[in-house]
Amino acid sequence: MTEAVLAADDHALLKTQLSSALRRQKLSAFLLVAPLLIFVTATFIYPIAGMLERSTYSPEFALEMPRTAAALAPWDGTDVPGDEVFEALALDFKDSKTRQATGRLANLVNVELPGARGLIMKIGRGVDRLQPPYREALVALDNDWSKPEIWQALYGLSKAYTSRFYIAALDLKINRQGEITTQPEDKRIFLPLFLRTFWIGALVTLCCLLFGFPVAYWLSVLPMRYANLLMILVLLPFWTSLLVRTTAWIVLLQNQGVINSLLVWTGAISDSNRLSLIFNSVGTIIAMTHILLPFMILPLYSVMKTVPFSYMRAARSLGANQYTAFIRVYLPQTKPGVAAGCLLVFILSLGYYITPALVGGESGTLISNMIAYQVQKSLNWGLAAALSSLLLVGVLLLYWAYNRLAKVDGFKLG
Amino acid sequence: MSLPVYARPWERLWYYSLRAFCIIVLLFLVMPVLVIIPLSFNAEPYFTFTEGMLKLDPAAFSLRWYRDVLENGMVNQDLPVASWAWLSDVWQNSQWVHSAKNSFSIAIGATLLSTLLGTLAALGLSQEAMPARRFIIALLISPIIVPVIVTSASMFFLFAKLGLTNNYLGIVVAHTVFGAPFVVITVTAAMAGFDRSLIRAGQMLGAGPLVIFLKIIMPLILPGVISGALFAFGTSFDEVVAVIFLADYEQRTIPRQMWAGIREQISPAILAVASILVCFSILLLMVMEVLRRRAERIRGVTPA
Amino acid sequence: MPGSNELEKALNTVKPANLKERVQKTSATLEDAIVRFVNVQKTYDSERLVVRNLSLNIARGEFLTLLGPSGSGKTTTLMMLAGFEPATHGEILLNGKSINRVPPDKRGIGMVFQNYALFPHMTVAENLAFPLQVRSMSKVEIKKRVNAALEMVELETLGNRRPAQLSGGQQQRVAVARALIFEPELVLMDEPLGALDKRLREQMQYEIKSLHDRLGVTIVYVTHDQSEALTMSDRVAVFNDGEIQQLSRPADLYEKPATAFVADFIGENNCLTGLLEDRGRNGICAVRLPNGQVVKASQVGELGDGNEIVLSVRPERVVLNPSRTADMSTLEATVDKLIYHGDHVRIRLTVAGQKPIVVKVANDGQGGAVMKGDVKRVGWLARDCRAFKRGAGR
Repeated sequence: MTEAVLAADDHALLKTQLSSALRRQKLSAFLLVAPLLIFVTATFIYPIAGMLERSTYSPEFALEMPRTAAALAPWDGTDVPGDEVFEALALDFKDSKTRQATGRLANLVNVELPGARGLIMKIGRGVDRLQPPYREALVALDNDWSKPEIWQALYGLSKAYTSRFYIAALDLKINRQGEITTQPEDKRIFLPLFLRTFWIGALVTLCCLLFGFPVAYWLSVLPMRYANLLMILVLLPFWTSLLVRTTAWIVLLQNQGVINSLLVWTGAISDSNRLSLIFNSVGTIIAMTHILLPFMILPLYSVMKTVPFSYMRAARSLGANQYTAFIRVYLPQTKPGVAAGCLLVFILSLGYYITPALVGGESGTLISNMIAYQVQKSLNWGLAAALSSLLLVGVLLLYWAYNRLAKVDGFKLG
Repeated sequence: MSLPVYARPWERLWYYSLRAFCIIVLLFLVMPVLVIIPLSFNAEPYFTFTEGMLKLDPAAFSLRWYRDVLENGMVNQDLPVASWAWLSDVWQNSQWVHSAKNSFSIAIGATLLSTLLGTLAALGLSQEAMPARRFIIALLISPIIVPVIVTSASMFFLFAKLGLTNNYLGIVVAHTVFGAPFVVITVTAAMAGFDRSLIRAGQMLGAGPLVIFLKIIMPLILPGVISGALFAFGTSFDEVVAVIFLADYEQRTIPRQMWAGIREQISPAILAVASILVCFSILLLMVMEVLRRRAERIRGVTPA
Repeated sequence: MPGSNELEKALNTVKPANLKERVQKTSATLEDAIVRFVNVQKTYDSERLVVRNLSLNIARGEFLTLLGPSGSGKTTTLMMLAGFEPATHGEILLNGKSINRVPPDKRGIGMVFQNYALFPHMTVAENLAFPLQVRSMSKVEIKKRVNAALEMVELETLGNRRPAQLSGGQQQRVAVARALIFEPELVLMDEPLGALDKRLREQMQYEIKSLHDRLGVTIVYVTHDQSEALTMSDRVAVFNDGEIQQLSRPADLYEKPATAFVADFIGENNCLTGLLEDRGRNGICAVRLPNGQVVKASQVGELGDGNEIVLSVRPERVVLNPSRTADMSTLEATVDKLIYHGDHVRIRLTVAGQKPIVVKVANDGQGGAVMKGDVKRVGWLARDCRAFKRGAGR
């Protein structure tokens, strides 16, 4: 519709006025959000970006041993490199000794080639006596220098930008020919752990759905007064410290714990056949189901509350029996709640650390525990970063799906 | 929904078994939390009910583990209980009291910071003109979703460079990151239920922007702000992974102390601490419930 | 309403000297206009005008209703007056001063909102005290005024209740009292009765009207309910598509609609189409229907030969079996349906080439005189049938 009343220049002026008013409103809204946005960016997004960088960028060796890194660059990766590399290495070691960096260097190399610490420390002790020709001198110091493994490790370390952490994190390796191949079955560590994390997460999610759905349904059809009362039973564990709940399960499930004692006392099992319910994957699954169950019940409940009861009545009046009405009419309407609850529980279970660490034993630990081990004990931060990045990508994909299914605006708690 | 008179036998069976199943699940939820409370009064160093406890023999119960909690770390173990010197020794040197002090000061700091930042952000996010709202909400909420271990490790790598590890500030910052999303969620929800015509009514009655914010907006979203603050407090009070990565003994919190206790030498003293924490969460839960009812009453929802 | 003397006294300053004269007033001159819209336009997107070139004078003390379908611009007009929407073009004057740049809280206009917008966290008394508190009135004075206002709306005992604890009608009264308590000269009401049921709505219409008569305050009232507009207002402005179609007293609106839209929008209406045959004299023209018959009608506005014409007749003005007089136009029609309404019966008849015609016949207790399928003559006087140019006034 054209408006003759509005002159052309009027029209343009008006447009700029409207858009500047809108800009002002946008700016004032954004200014309110800005402090938290800046805070989260600086203390959450930026560290994670740093972690992602760390998983592919590792300049430490190249900084400590510049000559060696440069000399190794043209190497083809097979057999043992030429004399110039030995010379560069020896000179770099002499420098690093004066900087007292040999220990750090030994740790770096040890991460890449387990057991290489001694090799490096030996050089550190003998570096002052090293005389050209360096190849012979180094081999005389330790015969390992004549083998390609250590050189391949150093070659890997010498590159600042590297895919070696991801190669390790995915249980791959670079063979003598410099090709990427899979680790032999018995040497795979991380992929089975990822698989176990997903598998236990899926099991926990399934258990939560099986337990949570009937409870949420029951609460949603109960009169408000009783529902609120019973809801407290759901919310109490939700508000109880994670460590308290984990402790409770240790107390209940351990060999001399409440459940085993009860079973022995009732005669269900004999004293010598106490069930091992904890420090294995069973313990992890039980404890995590207990901890995550409220995260399933709450979104399910809030969706079920909004399903009008009249639909079921309509279905019954149209001739469907209770069962058909439930399956064909009620269930489809709870789908968003089921999807949101399952995704939420699954996402949270993937990142669980405390509970598996305390009740999981050998067979119940998850990828998070491996990341913590790599950061704190093994000190292989690059590998930890690569494992974290892989976990993060998985979680973010699921989070994206969660956002599409259950609008984040409607993310409900308590 | 009660059982109609025309229900067939299998429907009856289904009806009662569903209820039984639900009750079992609810028991599964609360029992582990509640069972540790009587166990914490065990006179013996066991994690199960002794014969005497089952027979309700008074001698089988004791407060020794609670005393243990208080006295662990005391300089002078021989002071008479509840004397001034004993109290002051407990206050200054007990390991658990030390952790409790840390827990509270860190949680209060993180709560204040996340409530302030989160409320401001939620006010902005609930404005119509807010650009890229969905993306920014997803971003601000992501700290809840991203595995704590990933976040904590990342912060550790960065904070180590900045010298923020083994430092209260670093932990408060980390806990603010975890707590602020809850404030954003609860306050945004409160704002979504806020009737914008009230602002217009206030204006027509002659109130300026400040009066409208203080007298109309603030009282109505206050329950949302407070429950967000409680979530933030609970999150910080319960958080242990970031503390493991970022804190030293000096900054140990209660959960961190429990973590160490369970891993090293689990003793029933842990149960005493856990029981105290359960009572604390019951308190928090009651505050939340009172707030929820208040908000409902104000909004005119008929009380249950 | 008893016991409202005090507030009435308090509000005496705005009460005009002669109440009757005010009620009789049908148009506002420049001097006594409290509000003037001068060539006001409004657009939200700079493409489409929601309000086109609106000029309107609102007389001091009058009850003016803005009536129209949704999207006609009536609410936007009210929002511009309240100050929530800026006018894109033109000027709005209050007491002769432009208020385009005055924020809502400085305009001193009372307003009753569609959903009442009572503050849910304050009691009724606190709600009423709010506008007085922001005006820094003394506590004693506030208490006095709040009590008077509660008395005025007969809610003396409910001052300590929260709005959620009141019925819809009580909430409505509090909203009205809150809009009046700070003695504004002008009160805006945005479909204030929309949420009430029919019986309560009629009672509140009466109460608002009687408050208006007693307090002498100017009220600008927005509604889409025509019966509300007709029963309450001194004048009604019918809006359609961003323009005032007609601004006149309720009776004129019904009896003398200025456009086909107003005729159709206000009350029930039978519509016939045809071509102008003869402009005639004394405002009576002749129109040829598609079936070739010629009928007479009052001409509204300028009509040209051969113009397509819309004829409009109220159902109660259509006569069954009319006597054949000179200014009575008659048609033959077939009875299609009889609808019983208690006090009257509606007869729907089909006419060749036209939409069905509805005739309203008083229920005289005889009944049975008309049967479905009967062929009857219907007719009307030329002054009861109005001829509009098709498409004019949309």
